[in-house]
Formats: sequence, C-alpha cells, structure tokens
Amino acid sequence: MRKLINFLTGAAPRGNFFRRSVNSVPLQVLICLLVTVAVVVAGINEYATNKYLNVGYTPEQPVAFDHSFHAGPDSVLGLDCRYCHNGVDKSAHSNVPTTNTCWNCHSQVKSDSPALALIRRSVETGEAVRWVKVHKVPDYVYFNHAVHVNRGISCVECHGRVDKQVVVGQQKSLNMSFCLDCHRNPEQFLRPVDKVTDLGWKAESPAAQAAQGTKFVHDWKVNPPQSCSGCHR
Amino acid sequence: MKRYLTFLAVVVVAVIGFFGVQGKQSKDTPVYVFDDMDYQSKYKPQGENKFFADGRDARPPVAGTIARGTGLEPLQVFSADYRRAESLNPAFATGKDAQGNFLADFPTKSLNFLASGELAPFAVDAKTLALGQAKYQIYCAVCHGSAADGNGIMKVRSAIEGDVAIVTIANLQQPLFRAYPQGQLYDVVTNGKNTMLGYGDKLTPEERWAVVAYLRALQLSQSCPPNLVPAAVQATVK
Repeated sequence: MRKLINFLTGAAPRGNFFRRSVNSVPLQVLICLLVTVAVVVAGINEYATNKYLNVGYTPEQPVAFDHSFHAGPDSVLGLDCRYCHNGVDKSAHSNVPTTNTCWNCHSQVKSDSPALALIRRSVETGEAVRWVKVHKVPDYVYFNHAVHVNRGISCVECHGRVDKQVVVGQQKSLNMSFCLDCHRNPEQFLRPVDKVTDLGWKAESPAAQAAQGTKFVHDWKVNPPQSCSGCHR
Repeated sequence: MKRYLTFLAVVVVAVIGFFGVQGKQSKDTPVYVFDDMDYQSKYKPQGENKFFADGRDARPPVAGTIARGTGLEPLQVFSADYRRAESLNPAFATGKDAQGNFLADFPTKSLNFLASGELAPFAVDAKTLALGQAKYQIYCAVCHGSAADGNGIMKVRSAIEGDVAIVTIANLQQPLFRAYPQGQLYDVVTNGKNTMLGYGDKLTPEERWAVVAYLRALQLSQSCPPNLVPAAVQATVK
C-alpha cells in the first residue's frame, strides 16, 4: 500500500518532518478500528446469546431413556407425550414422569434390563431418579405449559423434534425474542388441539397455516401478552 | 496494518476453532455469563433440595394427614364452612356407594360446583365420550389396544421380546369385563388390578368416568346388534 501511495504521490520531498506515507495513517487506523468493531460485534452475536450458550445442551441422563423409540406417532411404541408428561395439559409445570409411570410397562417388559437398574432401585426404595433438566428459563420467567398446550401450541415449537432424539438436547434458544416471535404472530404457530403432540404435523402450506391460524386466534380469543407482567412477576 | 489484520484473522480462527459455532452439542452445563436472578433460592416443582434427606423440594404429607381439599385457594380451603367436593359426593371419587359396593351405573353428580353451591350434574354425553376417547387413546390403548381387545403395542412388543405382558394384558371384550359394574371398572382405572398399576395419579375422577364410558362404547362397537347400525353404514357391510 505504501508503494502504491508513493507511486501516486511521488517521492517524499525533502524538508518535511513526516514522510508523505504518514498521510494514510488515519485511514489505516480507521480501517483497523472498523474491522475490529465488526469482529467483536459478530463474536458477541455468535457467542454471547442463548443460541450459543444453551442450544445444543445435551446432558447425559441417569437412565438412558430413548425418546425416539418410545414417543410420537412415528416411533416404535407410538406413545403420546402425555402418557408420561401427564401434567402438561393440567399444570404450569410439565412433569418428569414418576418411576411408577416407567413401571406401568417395565414391570412386565424388559424388567430385568441392566439399563433399568436405577428405576428398579427407585421402585423398591422410593428414592428419586435424578433426571437432569435440559430446558431451562430463568427463574423470573413464569411459563405455563397448560395454557399453551390447551390452545394449540405444539410441544415442537419450543422443544423441537424430541420424538427424533435419542438423547434429548435443547434445540431452540428459548430467549425472550424467541417467545415474542410467537406472541406477536400467534397465527403462524397455532394448530388444531388434537395435533399438539403430533410433532411431525404441518399445515399443507404456509397459506393454509395462516388461514387456520387466523381462525383459531379469532375463535379461541387468543391474545398473547407482550407486556412485561405477562411472563415476569 | 497488514500485520494487525493478520493477527486479527488468526484470533478469529482460533476463537472459532476453540468455541465452535452455534448449536454445537455439548454435555457441559451451559455457562451463564450474567446469571443475575436466573437462579433464585425458591422451591420449584420437582426441584432439587439439599436440605431434605430425600433431596426433593416436594414434601409428602405427614402420616395421618386428613385431606382438607384439592382447591388451590387458601382462603377457600381454610374457611370454616369449606366442604370438600369428594366428601359431598364420595361415590364419584371412589366408584363405590355408601355400603362399599361398586356403583352399577354412572354417577349423576360430578365433583364440580355450580355457582349456586350445588354439585353440577354428570352425564354420559358426546362431550364425555370425546374426553374418554382422548384419554383412552393416550393411557389405555398402549396395552389394551384401540379396540379394547388387549392387542396394544405392549402385547406386540412383549411377543418380540418374550416378556410376560403377552399373557397378563386383559382383553376387555371378554364377558367377564362386560359384566363388571361401572364402579368396578372405575376402581380398576383408579387403583389398578393384578399387574396393572393405577392411573388415579394421571387422570382426574371426571376423566376416569369418561374413560369407563368410552370403554363401554368400545365394547358395544365389537358386539353391535345390527338394528343399531345406521342404514348408511349397513349398506357397506356384508
């Protein structure tokens, strides 16, 4: 660059304290600053949000429960999500199933499997199985599962295709803008209530989704809060 | 400048190499840079608590506790004239009459209060059957099958795995179960029977009665007298 500038401006005349090339220093500093700022902003955007910090969190569970085998209409067993997470349409909290729920079937199917050692111990002693929580929102966020599930918001919108996961991991960012994307445009996400646990379900076309979504918003008087106190208290 | 930009590029490559990109799978607990009030010291549903020996936030009732109500409003539960719906209509909650015999028919009063303070009527109507169908498909069809013939996915799997469930799952179309009083079916749904565990913790009393009603519909569907079949359907049956 200096050669180019020298070529364009000629050799530095004698008698000047600064060489002519010094003229380009402010420009160079400016370019370096801009590039640095751009890199830092890109870095924060990539690394400092839930999209990096939380998405992909796939902890090892004490019992290797395979959702892709048990849950969803496409799986081997085809269990409905609510067979185990039975509180999801009645309570704010979607429960991790009790050991009894495992034992409903496993007392008679594969009950001696070594993979179920912790479940057997829990059945015998009443000791809790220490499942690791995957999807977390901060403690000042009050998310109510029942009101969403009973109004046609599918599990898949926040949890992704759990029915395709061998080990469950977080797939969506669950940050505030993620919530607001849906609260501002509910008609893009509402589906018939009986399709809520059918995670693979999709409207035939975006236009069909918009049409039925708009209808549901009207019929069910869906008015998702966008004020702070809607979710924080 | 060239030297600085090269240095910056090396830093960027090193950062991406070390931290990866968004959506990378990891077993490590997420890092919270500013965790401010994300973690508050309060009891949460199914939360962990190191204070208690069993490590649970949820505390079981002390032995000998008498249920005072299932309401969530303290004012309601602790008011002097509060009456528990289950105590006003025990037959609905247990499926048994005052003498301890199973109800032969469906109860006529539910556990819900009308605005007047009376118990709301309970009827086996299309709405109840739809509720029963939804709950049956989730909780019962796994073993007993969609047609209540005992051929659910559990039986299929135990045939493959060679497990005992292939003989223990009941075919609810059998005369034995057709002859059960309604209250006895309700009792089985609630408390289980033989190798079946109860579903009283998963289904409300109303839902359990709805499941019983839907099971009766399934039994009727497998032994339906021809004169009850609508004419339009009769034409398609040979």
